[in-house]
Amino acid sequence: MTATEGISAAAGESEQAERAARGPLARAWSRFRKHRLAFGSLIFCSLLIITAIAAPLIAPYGYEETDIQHKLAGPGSEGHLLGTDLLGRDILSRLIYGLQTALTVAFGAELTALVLALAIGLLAGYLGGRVESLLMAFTDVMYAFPSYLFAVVMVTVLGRSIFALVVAIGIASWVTQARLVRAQVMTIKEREYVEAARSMGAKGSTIAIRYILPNAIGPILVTTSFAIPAAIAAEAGLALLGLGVQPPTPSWGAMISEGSRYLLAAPHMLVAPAVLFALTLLAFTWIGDGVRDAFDPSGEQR
Amino acid sequence: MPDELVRAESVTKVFRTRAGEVRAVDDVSLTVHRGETLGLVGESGSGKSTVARLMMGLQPCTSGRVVFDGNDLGQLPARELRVLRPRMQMVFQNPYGSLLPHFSAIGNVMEPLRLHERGDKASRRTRALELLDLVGINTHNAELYPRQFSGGQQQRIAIARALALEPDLLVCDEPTSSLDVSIQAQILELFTDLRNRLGLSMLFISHNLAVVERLADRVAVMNKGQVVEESPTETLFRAPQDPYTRQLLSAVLPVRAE
Amino acid sequence: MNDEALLSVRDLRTTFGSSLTAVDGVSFDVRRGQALAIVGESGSGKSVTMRSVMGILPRTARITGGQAYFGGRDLLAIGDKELRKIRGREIAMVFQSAMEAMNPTLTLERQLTEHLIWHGLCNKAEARKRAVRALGDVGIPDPEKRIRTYPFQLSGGMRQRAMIAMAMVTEPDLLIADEPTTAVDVTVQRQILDLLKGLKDRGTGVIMITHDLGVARYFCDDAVVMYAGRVVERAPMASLLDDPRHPYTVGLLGSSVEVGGRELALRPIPGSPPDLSRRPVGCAFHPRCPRAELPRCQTEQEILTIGPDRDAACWKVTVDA
Repeated sequence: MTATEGISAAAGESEQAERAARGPLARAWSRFRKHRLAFGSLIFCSLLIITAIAAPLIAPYGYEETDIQHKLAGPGSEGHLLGTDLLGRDILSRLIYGLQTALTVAFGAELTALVLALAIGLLAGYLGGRVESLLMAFTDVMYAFPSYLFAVVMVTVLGRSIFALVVAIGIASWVTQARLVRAQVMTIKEREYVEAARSMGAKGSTIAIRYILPNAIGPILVTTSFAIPAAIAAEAGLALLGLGVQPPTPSWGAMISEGSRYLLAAPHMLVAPAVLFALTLLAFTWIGDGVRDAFDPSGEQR
Repeated sequence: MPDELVRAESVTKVFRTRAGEVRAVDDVSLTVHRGETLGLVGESGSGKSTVARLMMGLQPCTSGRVVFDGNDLGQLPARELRVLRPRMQMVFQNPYGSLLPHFSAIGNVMEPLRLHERGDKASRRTRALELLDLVGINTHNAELYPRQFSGGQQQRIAIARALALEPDLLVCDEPTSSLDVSIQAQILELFTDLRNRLGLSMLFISHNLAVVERLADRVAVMNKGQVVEESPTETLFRAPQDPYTRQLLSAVLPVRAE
Repeated sequence: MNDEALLSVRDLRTTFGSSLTAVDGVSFDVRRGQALAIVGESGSGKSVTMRSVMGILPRTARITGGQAYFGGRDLLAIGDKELRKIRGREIAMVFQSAMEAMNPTLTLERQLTEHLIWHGLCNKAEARKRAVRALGDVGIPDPEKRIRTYPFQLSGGMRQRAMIAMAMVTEPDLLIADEPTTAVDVTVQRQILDLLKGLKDRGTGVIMITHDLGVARYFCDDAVVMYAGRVVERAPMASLLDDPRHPYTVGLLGSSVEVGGRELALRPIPGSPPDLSRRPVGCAFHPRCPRAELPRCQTEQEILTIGPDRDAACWKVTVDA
């Protein structure tokens, strides 16, 4: 190419210089921010997370602390914004600690699921052949097993602790994720840039982790963000069955179950946890919606 | 002719599909000499792209062998093949598909240097900028991502990446077929210029006879997995011997008045 | 409006979203038994032009102006229901890939007879007879048997032929072919063009959208060249290629590689076509044009008559002539 052509070719693209360089993640983030409901939900959920982490600082009382003079106090009564329960424990404080339980279980479980799913999905999708058949046969067996039943068995075996719940819910939900990861990896493996990477002399592990994974992550993040509210609901569900965390550690599920028993006598015991539970689930689901739209492949086209 | 760089010795590639066995490449022998451009022409399904991958050692041959500068690619362990990789690089048909979408233009060009641990990060950057400049990409746009470039510019970036490791052999698989006419002409000029300047040896694959005629020193014509004719470019286009070559040439529709 | 024209498109304007004008004031005529080439590179608006006329635009696009007269009706004004009666019967289409034009779940028979029956042109038995004849006409061997197969059971070349048979079976007045040979091999290309020529000889007018100047020269009688949504040059096909006037057409020819043209120097157009959302002011080609003179080229340029049957949208052309 002669010098003049080089210059004029450059002139054609000079207008691009004004454009900011934006990678796939930056683009997804800017699309996410335009999704008002999702962005609002993200702020709400961030507040929830901060509250959960700072629970000892924010909660007016400890979750076990009883105020014997004010059992079943109504909302707005002196010193108890949302009232107290049967034992005179502050409902607001118990909600905040219950939030801690819910989020620890949900995030712990989904993180476990994600790590398992990525490891197995990447291995199976990238290696193919016998490794894939074996891993996927295992996954299918797990898939066939009713996940709720599995969680019940796990909690019964491991005892009623946060750890047991994380393991139970995490293992129950990695299967779907692993299948998704594998499907993603298999699609991306066929792209020309993977062949290009091989022709450059990249190792299999480099290709899987550095080239395939970042491009597969969108849909995986989407399912993970929808799995979080599902895990919160699962924790509450197990608590309703009496398989939640060991009391007196508060759990929303247990609070709702207890509240429903005294619905007529003390409706505030049910209303506050139920409303917060519903709002939290909605907000996390809306975040999932936003994440999905942000990674929508139709927006990925040039 | 100068010494040979890569040689395919009666290579055959059989793919097993649900419909049975397909002989994509059938007893093909080709040689690319140093400093030479070998053109490979054929229609879709003729096996020319498979030949490219066999000669790059990206797929194993069913029978026969590919020898690159004295090394039998089929006999090399994976690690040694990777060490040989920098010496042979490839440019693909679809430039957007062949660039890493989550790496910037300069990131894409630096990647082969990083993989083979050439220099430190700063020197890799410098080298990548030189390369982008060499292929006519404004270095102000180096941080943009592949999708922010037009098809022609993407192909330039892909070429810069293929040149980063200073390969002896450049295998180009339909590098201009997805580009518009005016952009195709730019890229052809770029190839001509790079070849003259860097003394590259090329295997240039295309279904477009005119493109191959312009770039190649010798041309091989493939049909149904076999090489039906191979001769110096001028001879092949002036006096085609094989009936299939003649058929191909007679099907060309001229643009300019004869 | 041209009386002898089969289709007369006037000042067509199609907009995507709120502001991206993909087709900007395009006019052309197609005559009976003649083929018009719409030549241009990707993003020139050639496919959007055709889709506007056919009423098959994507939902984000809107026709914001112009007329398309066909048999006394304005296709842009008659509405979807009327247009559907015309599509497939009086106007047929052939696409780059038969895969996108044919329904993979229906046999050839269903797809070929559908229009005939639906438009009430004939009964089922007669439709089948005509479909078999059409398949035979496009050179599909053993049409009686093949008519019972599904599109995916055919090879690429055969599928392209079947799609042409589908377009031919209603004996349309106008055929719109969008890159009909881009996806097929050169040896098949010629056969397909010859098939389409047969249709032209029977009086069908053809619009062929193509980026391949060799195909255009072989098949078409007239040409319009499009750049960034506008017509930049209009001429009889041979004159356009032998004596291109607009600098963009000159550039396209300088960029074409041809067998036997090894010694001919390439003169590529520098740069790339503009992003339509940031269309250069005035003549959209001026940033890439070797003859551009500022600021004159930054003012809007009407298309000018530069000779018999010839127009070009460049003030430099008339100055030279």
